[in-house]
Amino acid sequence: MSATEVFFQQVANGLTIGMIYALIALGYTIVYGIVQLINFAHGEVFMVGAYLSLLAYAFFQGLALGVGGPLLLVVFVILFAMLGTAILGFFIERFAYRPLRHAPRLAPLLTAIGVSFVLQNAVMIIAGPSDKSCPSLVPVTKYSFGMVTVTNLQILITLVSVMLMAGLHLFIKNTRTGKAMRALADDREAASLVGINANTVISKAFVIGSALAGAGGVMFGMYYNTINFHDGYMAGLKAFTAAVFGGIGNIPGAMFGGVLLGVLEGLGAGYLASEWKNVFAFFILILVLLFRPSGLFGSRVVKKV
Amino acid sequence: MLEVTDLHSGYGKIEILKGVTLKVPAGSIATLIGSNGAGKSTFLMTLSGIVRVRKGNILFEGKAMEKLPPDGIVKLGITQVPEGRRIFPHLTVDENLDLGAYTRSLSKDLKKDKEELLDLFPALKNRLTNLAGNLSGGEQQMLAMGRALMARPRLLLLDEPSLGLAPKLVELVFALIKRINERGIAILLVEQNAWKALELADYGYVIESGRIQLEGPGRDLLSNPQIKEAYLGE
Repeated sequence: MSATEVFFQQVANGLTIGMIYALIALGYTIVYGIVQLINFAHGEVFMVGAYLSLLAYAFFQGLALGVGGPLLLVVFVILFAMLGTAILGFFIERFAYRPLRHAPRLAPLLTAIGVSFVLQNAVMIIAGPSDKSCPSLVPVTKYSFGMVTVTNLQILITLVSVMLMAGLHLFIKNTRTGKAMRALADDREAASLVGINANTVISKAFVIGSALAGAGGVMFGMYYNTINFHDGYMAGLKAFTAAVFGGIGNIPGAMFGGVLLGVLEGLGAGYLASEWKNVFAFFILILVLLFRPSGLFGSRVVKKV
Repeated sequence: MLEVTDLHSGYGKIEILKGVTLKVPAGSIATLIGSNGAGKSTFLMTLSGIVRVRKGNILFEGKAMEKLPPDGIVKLGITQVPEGRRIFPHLTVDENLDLGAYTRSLSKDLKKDKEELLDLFPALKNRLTNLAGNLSGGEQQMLAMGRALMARPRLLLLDEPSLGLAPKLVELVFALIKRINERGIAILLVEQNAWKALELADYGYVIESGRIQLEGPGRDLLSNPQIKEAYLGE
């Protein structure tokens, strides 16, 4: 392969994983934007999503394939995992973070790390410590476009991610809850004064963020065909990097940061060696923190007074 | 309509309100004046449920509300225009108004209400799609008042609405408060501009160190020598 071929191929591969990072990054950024909490258990929610896809696959495989074929199966599995992780997110917020709402900021941060351990170990006990193989759900076909070869799986992951992100964008922009979320991010006390129940809205933010991470988990499994109980840790850190990259608290920033991180990582893997791709990702995190701590798009922390 | 009896509240270990007793009759304008740090804003924040009541009672139209959360108080019919306006800067003017009606979003009269409101605040009319943070101080004050009115309150709490505004705009804000009151909405106005507040109000209260020191009809307080010396600068 020539250098140009490597470039385009790695951009295509990077885009796919970048979409998944973006989906996870959104959860970090929505929650941070509203409660200024880094939910370090978020990567584990993603991982649980991948495991739930195995469960859903076992349940729905026959039914979905019988009725409508592999695409219907994908839809079923993703919806099932999203529902499961949404419920998980609801309970995490309700029992781990809400009691600490008025505690010093360090307390919920430590709790987040605790929740992360609990989820990892729970999954290890339930599903076992070894890697589980994940089905692609659809028969994989390769397509060649000039210098680039992509699979239908990559196209599917990109499409589903874009749809979910567009859905989120419309939700935040137009719905009553979406407006309430933005109001809370701007000024929590003023939001209470207009009658917004902060707890309800924060809960919804966790539910939505977790559902997106769950969808990301399913597609991660489809793409890499394997999942392990500690896979959420690295993916979570990467997505966190992506969120910081785009400006934590900034929703378009998280989408862009995720995709860009995926692409840069892909290029790093293509030109250097794939073992270096994690180093590459965190090198970017360090650079961003050093030179542009509020991220590429700035954050919403600074308000006009 | 609003009856507060022996209200105590504060932040952490510091007690700021040390027994406030005050009444706002339906449809009237009451004002609470006092120097910086006397507890005026804390009083309004306690009424709105942001600061917890430690002791005492708050009755609104006969209902005890000292244990209600902020959204419950809005639903009961009390909204606040907080000090410093506190509009949502990254949301549009229109969205700010929509959020004012958050507790009654399902109501069908919202459109009509918004139109009526814009007649009251014509300055906002062609700024609906602007980000609220880009408005001038005066416009932000209008927006904050409009947002609070969108909930259709029967009692409106106003915290220093004239603060930081040019004299002309101060006149406008006071004229608007009068017009809002003429629609049957009772007003509790907290002000440092004691002269204007007492002129407008049916009844005034003077708060010092968390206690009501003096009260009486607005006109009476204006001619009270103690008030003249301490708050009217004569």
